[in-house]
Amino acid sequence: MIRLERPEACTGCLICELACSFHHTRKYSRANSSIRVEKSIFYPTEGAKITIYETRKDAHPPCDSCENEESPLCVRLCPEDVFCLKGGE
Amino acid sequence: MTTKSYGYAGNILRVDLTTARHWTESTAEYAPRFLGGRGINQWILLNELRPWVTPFEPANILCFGAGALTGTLVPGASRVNIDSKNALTSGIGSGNAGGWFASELKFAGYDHVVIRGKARLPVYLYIEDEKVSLRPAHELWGKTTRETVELIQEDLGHSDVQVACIGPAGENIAKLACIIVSGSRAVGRCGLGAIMGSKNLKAVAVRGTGAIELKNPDAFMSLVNSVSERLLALPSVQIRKNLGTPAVGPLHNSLSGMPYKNFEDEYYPEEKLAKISPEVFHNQYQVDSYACMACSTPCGHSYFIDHGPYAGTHCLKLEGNALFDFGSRLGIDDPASNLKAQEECGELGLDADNTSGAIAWAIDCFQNSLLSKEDTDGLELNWGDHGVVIELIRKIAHREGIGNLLAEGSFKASQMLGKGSEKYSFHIKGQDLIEGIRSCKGWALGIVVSPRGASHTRGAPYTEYRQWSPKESQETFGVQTAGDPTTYSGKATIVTYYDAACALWDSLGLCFITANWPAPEGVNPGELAEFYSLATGGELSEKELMKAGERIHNVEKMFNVYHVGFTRREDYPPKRLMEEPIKSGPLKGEFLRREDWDKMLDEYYMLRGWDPSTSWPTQATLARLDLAECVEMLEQARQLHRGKLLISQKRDNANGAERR
Repeated sequence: MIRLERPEACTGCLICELACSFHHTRKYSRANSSIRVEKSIFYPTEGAKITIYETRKDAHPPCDSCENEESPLCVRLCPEDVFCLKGGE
Repeated sequence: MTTKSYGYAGNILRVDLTTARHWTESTAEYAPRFLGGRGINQWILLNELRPWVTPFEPANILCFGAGALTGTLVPGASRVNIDSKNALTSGIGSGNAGGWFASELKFAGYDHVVIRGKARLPVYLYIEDEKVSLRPAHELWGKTTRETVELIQEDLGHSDVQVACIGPAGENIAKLACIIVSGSRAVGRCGLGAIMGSKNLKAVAVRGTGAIELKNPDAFMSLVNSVSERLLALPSVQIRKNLGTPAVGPLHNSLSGMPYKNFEDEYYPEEKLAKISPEVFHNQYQVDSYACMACSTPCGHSYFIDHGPYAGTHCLKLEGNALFDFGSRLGIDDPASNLKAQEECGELGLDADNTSGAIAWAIDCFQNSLLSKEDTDGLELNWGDHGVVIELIRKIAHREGIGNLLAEGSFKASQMLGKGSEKYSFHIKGQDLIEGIRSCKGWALGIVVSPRGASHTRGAPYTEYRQWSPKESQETFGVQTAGDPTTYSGKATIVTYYDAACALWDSLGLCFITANWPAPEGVNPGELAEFYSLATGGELSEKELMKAGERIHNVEKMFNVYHVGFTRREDYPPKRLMEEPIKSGPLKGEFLRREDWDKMLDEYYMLRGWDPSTSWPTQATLARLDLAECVEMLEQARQLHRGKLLISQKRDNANGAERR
């Protein structure tokens, strides 16, 4: 399972969202991602709200921990190490 | 409606505000010849705007263009370019910003939005995938940029709507007005916010649920991986992560490149700089770090002031220029006031650079008895008086009192005031100069020949400040002098590399900080060619991509030729910087000697294939760059601007080029 390791370090670059949509569709989008990041530059004290969908919501597919990829793309590409892979369901 | 297109969204949205109609056309009609972003925007402007159209009339066109690689994971590919007729120079107006707007526009299905006409009442344009609407904005009129973003998001019920908007300055057609993107990113120069205001267009808001499809997704992603890893390991990236772009301030001072008291000097006394050092902002005020879309370097920082006269200020962004704008140039060494001034400019929608230039001119005029308290609404204008500066910012945005004059920009204001005040306006082509240029000669050349007027982001090399080694210089440019600030030799070659490269970056949407501008290890044109080819399926070599950059740079140049007839005369630095040496600092004594400048300019024009007496592209150059359509424009320009051409050609008989 993908878990949040350092959510407080999130910078709102949305690399994770695009990487995730790439895993699911081989395209880039925010809509087809299992991750949703909401970070407001106006309210820094609120930090980033990061959702990892475990069941489908609208176009967002459930996270499958990047089945068939070498390693989970969000873990690999997040420059701030916000995500980690935890073993077991 | 949508056309399948690899890499691109595929569509250009056209909007006529006068008739409230909108329609689409295919991006493929313009790409790959002009790539995207700035390239396509400027080609549309050059073809569709006639020279007699003035910036603020409804017939002027305002183009928003997402870079061709935005919406993907190319590191730093986040930028939206906005282009129109320049409110300050009447030549090309152009700027870009990061944030999250460009990718959202592409996800909604559009690469560009081309807006003409004028709405009868204030409106904002809302794009949600195929749905396009003009919504009333009378309740937004008068609101600050932050309020505008929040009210639009509330109105639409989506917090993820991306907004590009103007503040009160744009509404009041202050020529120093900018467009604020994603809440804090400014498309600053050229008065583009005033053009948006003249159209009664408060904002463009966009939300998209689509996707960007790639021709060769797996190879593309593997290139993303390798480039990202390399960039993350660069020391310069770590510095920007910590300190943001203000980190460059001391670097500029170390080569006598910080304007002090409106260019009286170009060295800020160390004890003053220490008070507004990047570390001061970082350690005492910074509360947040954020990155633009798809960028692993969070150079965006926000700052909060919790004590003193400016307590309660939350400044959303501080750029490198900030240390000049509301620091050295105005003789200010108070960090809190710098943040306050930046924040006021952001909220009111003013370009900090041009605003600082106008204020510096006013202070200089006051100090030299060309303006009195009667002219300045009773304000006494002194170097370092930040309270007055903040009051002037507010007055400019509202065109109130002295602000009405300053809202014209320093060049026009000096023409209106006369009395010799022109010598205190440091501008190129009518737009204010931000940076010190007397010490680093390549930096100076790139800034001065930039078609949009006084810009270091259009071809000025950063190699001198970063002191590239002769080996690095040779490998990239074929000359060894890139890291040597005071030599003129080889600098024209380096500027021709970067003005084509900058055109590329702006057209692909790449932030030049992630490109090979600050360091040779940045994303290079060869990699960009590979990214572009893998994304779109159109095989483009590095050479062809650089040629596209050169083509776009020539389109930008042709706009100035056709619309204002700028000639070689406009490619000279302000006279005082060619006569008065820098007074202090490590490169004390440097200035831009006229004979050396002439020679460097001749070389630059020769490399560019431009006529050295006029600076205009030759027919052969236009043909080589597949711009045959421009040949007729060149002929028309010769007729339209006969007088300017004559004056320019007279220079050969005079003692070097004359200016002003």
